[in-house]
Amino acid sequence: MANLLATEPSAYLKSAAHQPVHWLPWGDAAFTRAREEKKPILLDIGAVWCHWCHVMDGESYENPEVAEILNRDFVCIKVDRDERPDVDARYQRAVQALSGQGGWPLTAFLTPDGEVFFGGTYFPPDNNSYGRPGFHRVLMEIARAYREERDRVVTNARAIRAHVVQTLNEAKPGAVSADLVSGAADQMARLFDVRYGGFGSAPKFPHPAAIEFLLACWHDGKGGLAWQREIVDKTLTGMARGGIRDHLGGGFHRYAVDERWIVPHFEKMSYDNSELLRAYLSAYQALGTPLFKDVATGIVDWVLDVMADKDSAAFATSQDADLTFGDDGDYWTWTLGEATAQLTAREAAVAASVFEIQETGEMHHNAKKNVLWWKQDPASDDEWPVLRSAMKKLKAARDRRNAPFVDRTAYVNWNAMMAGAFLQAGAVLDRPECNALALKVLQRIWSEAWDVGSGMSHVLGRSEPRGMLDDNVQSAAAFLDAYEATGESRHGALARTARSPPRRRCRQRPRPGVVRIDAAACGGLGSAPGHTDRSRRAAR
Amino acid sequence: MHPVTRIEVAGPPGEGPACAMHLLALQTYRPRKVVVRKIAERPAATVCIGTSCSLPVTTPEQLATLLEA
Repeated sequence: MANLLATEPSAYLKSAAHQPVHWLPWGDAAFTRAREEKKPILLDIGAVWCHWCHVMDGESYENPEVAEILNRDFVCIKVDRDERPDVDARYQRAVQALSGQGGWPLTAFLTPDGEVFFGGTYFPPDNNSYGRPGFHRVLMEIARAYREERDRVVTNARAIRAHVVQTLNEAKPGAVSADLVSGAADQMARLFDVRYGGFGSAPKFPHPAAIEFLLACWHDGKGGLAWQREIVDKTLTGMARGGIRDHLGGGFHRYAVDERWIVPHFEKMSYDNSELLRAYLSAYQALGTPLFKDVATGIVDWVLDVMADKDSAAFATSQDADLTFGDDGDYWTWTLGEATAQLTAREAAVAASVFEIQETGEMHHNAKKNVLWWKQDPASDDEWPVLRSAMKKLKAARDRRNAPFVDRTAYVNWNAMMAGAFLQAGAVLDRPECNALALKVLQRIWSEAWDVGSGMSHVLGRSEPRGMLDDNVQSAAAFLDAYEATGESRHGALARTARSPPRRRCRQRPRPGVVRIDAAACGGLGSAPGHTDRSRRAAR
Repeated sequence: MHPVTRIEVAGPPGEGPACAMHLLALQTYRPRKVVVRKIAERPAATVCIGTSCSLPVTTPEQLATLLEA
């Protein structure tokens, strides 16, 4: 029998409808039930593109024994983080404060008032060798603690909440100073990996905003600080050569598991790619590096090919890593045999040398599978056309494979971000079709998402949720881009209008007991059901 | 802390020097850049950095020189 997720619009929630866990969607009904039944809440926040969410679904939430414990001792809520970034932001902070790590799947245990008392990310079904406790044991222990030591659990949850509100609120009042800016740049420099580019070590995320920030710092210093340019150059080049870039289809996967950018987690996100598109375009504008233009062109081509719905004027959200549970990105990778079967002997030799395609590849689940990453340039000028022909054939062969799921939910914030990046691309790459599509998307956002009383909705074509900061701010920013690109004053007016309602809403006091979907609009820390005042004040 | 760069391009709509200067303004990298396109009879572009503005120029080549400075 399907649980209550079957009628949810989210593809991720729908995919859990067959699970034996009696999932409830986020909402008052779930919290009311927890209060009435005096049970703790298990909150699972995931996403359709999230590999380890699917792993945990398969290992634990589809297991009848686990479901029995959950259904007996907990009220279970499943949330799609793309649909509810406000709920996600709030609980990520709390779990991070508790366990030192965040991410997805987010597994949080709450009191019926919505306060976190324990949490983590992925839990294996049984205790594993990395020292992570097994989910089964965790559930038994938490159910016991809640039954036998409820007062202590509730007190702890309040203390955690106070800690999160007081110390983890990143927004602080005060003017921006030169020291603040140079301090931020210095911190980025300390995290910079001089060998492979990027920040920190494995796993490596792109951080395009840091790149744009350092590029601006370098430019403001009139080219004075060479290290700022070096970070920009090396990071953008490292990512462009790595397997984190989809060399055949264009665009970037979400992150690399290694410090050399070679083996990615293969899901491709709209918001990462729109920010990366801007970073590569800006760096090309500032530095003139041809590779950066190629990379930007690849992102645009991928978006037009896979993510854009030109008729309805919308950009999709994400493309999954895997076709089936546990294939670990087989769609994107190649055995030597798969590659050579598509190519002439010369093409195969050149492609194998450039992309390091060998009998043994980089993937753990299947040692024969190679990630395409740019190990070295073709050996001579006459090899370049051979390589281009090989890449075209490999792309055509990949296009004949069954492709991973594309989530076509049209989120307003991410559509606006991509529209803005496309307006920059239209000018810098001189591709008017990018402008045309971006303006159509923005027109749709204006006519379908905007409401004068409550701001932007979060999803095109759905009236709720609405009024979140990101949707309004990203739309306003994209309307400004449209104003610059077209000179039409109505776009400037739309930008001014779109950014005003959340400010008005933030001054309102939320009604107690109501989960305010615009909580994140007011500074990042959302309000718990029934507990709103303190966080709201702190968030201002 | 650092000034805004405001590039204003005026001129007739459609192809021509104003359109080319508008595209050049959009293609130029400047942190805190604002591009304003206005419709006027004759093409003219000005670049203001903070509160000091250039004299108007009328061709993309002249604008490029201004933006390189």
